[in-house]
Amino acid sequence: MLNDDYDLIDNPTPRCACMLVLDVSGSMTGDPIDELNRGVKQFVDEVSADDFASNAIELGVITFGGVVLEPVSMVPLHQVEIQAFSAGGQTPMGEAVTRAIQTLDDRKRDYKNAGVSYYQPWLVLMTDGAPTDSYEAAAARLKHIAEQKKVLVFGIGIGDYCDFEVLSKFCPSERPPKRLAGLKFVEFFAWLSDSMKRVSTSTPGTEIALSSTGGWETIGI
Amino acid sequence: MSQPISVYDTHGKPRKLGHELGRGGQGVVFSLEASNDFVVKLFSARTLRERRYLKDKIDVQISMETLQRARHLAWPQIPIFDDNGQWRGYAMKMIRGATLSRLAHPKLYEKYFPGFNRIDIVTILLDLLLAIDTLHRNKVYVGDLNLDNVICDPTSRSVYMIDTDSYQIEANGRVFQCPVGRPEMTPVEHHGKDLQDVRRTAESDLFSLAVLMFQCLMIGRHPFDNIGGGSPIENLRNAFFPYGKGSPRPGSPGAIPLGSWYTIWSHLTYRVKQLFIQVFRDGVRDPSKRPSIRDWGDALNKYQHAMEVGFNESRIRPAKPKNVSDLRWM
Repeated sequence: MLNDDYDLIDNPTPRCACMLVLDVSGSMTGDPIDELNRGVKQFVDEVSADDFASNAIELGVITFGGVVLEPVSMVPLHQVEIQAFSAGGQTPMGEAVTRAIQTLDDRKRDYKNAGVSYYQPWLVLMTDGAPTDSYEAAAARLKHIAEQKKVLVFGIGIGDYCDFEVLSKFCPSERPPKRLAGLKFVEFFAWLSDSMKRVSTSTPGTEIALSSTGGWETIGI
Repeated sequence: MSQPISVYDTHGKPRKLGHELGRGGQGVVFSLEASNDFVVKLFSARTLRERRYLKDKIDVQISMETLQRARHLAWPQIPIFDDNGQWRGYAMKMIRGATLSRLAHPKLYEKYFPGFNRIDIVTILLDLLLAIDTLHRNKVYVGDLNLDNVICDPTSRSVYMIDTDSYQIEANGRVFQCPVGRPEMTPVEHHGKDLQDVRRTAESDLFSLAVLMFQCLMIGRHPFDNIGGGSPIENLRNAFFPYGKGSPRPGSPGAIPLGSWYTIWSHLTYRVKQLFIQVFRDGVRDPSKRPSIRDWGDALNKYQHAMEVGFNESRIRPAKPKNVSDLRWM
């Protein structure tokens, strides 16, 4: 745990870590990356505005586009400062997922060490293509921990060229990846913030009633 | 079933609905036009279909005059019908204030309860004890007691209990169960059971009440949070209370969470700490060991007096542990 991690010491609210693992490879250039940026910003704004969720949700962002970066390192949502992502390079999705799993594990250990109780973390994996690195081990690991209910995984395929066969290897069999219609990032993140607000007022460890997906009909989770 | 524009009382006298005040799983609460004192709760079509006993239950509640008049309760007052004469819900008093989930919260209490100290918190808890005592004397058990269904008016420091239609009611040999609950507030004897069939008791309420009071006095901390713990439910099933004599060394597994929690705890009176230890150790498995409302009332009155005369710290976040002898004992 970081020495300056006062939030875990001062704030006893049960936490829910939310990790966004986002494809920012070359093919996302143009409208897709702009819409993604708009969606993520809106998500942060909406959750920050909620009294309970802003103190319960922690956000991390890992991007993969040429290299794997961690522009937001798992911090309380009220501390997040989001910068716009730019697109470029290949699709090292395997490495990104490995890093995301590690970050979530580390954060869970921080919670335990501080005595802060926590919800099952969420991981949203968004891609418009297919990995260009060796991803098999990372995919199998994520699928495994998702099926053991250690993490709630949402695989989201963007556009017409996403390889759903590969993406489904990252996802638990009971929640296969979904296709995002058009560039409805904003609708997706509106749904995500609504669902996360429910987490922060529900009971950790129980099933959460996810909000209805009406409005972006192709994703029925 | 569409949302009506007007609703009717038993005599068919109409009133116009105002705006929506709140929405839950079971229904929607509306204001009434030209009324600041009453609101209407309309159940959803689905709730009416799935809980066919609801009308009978609400009718019984409406017949309980003592509770209808109780100052603390948003109790059903009259039945409400739509323009087809279908029963849709009930009218109750309008309640103003903030939920206790905003008081038992390290970031929100200063916003919603400005200027509050521990004397104010204890004032609220004593008022809550009165409310629950009134219910228990009428064989009504809250069941789903939690920080979100108790409201406090920050000015008057009065407590109001909402969601009263979920309470367990006994009348004329019939029991209407409380079908809802939150695991982290529910005593272990009711875990893993369908709450529709669970018979709540004074003792089960006393457990939930103790968790809620601990959360209010400890700025939102759950009594079973501990180092190395997991989700609140896992913690509750393990039921390990890390405060008091014989607890694990600070920082080691099972100890009090990191932060000023020990300091806050140390400023409670000996008797209040003793009651928490009793309910969260022996009282977890043995409901008869849970302190009564009278026990709590006595301990909290004395705690309040001790703060008023300056024996005990009244700041919500005291800066230092009380004293060294406390460190040894509690």
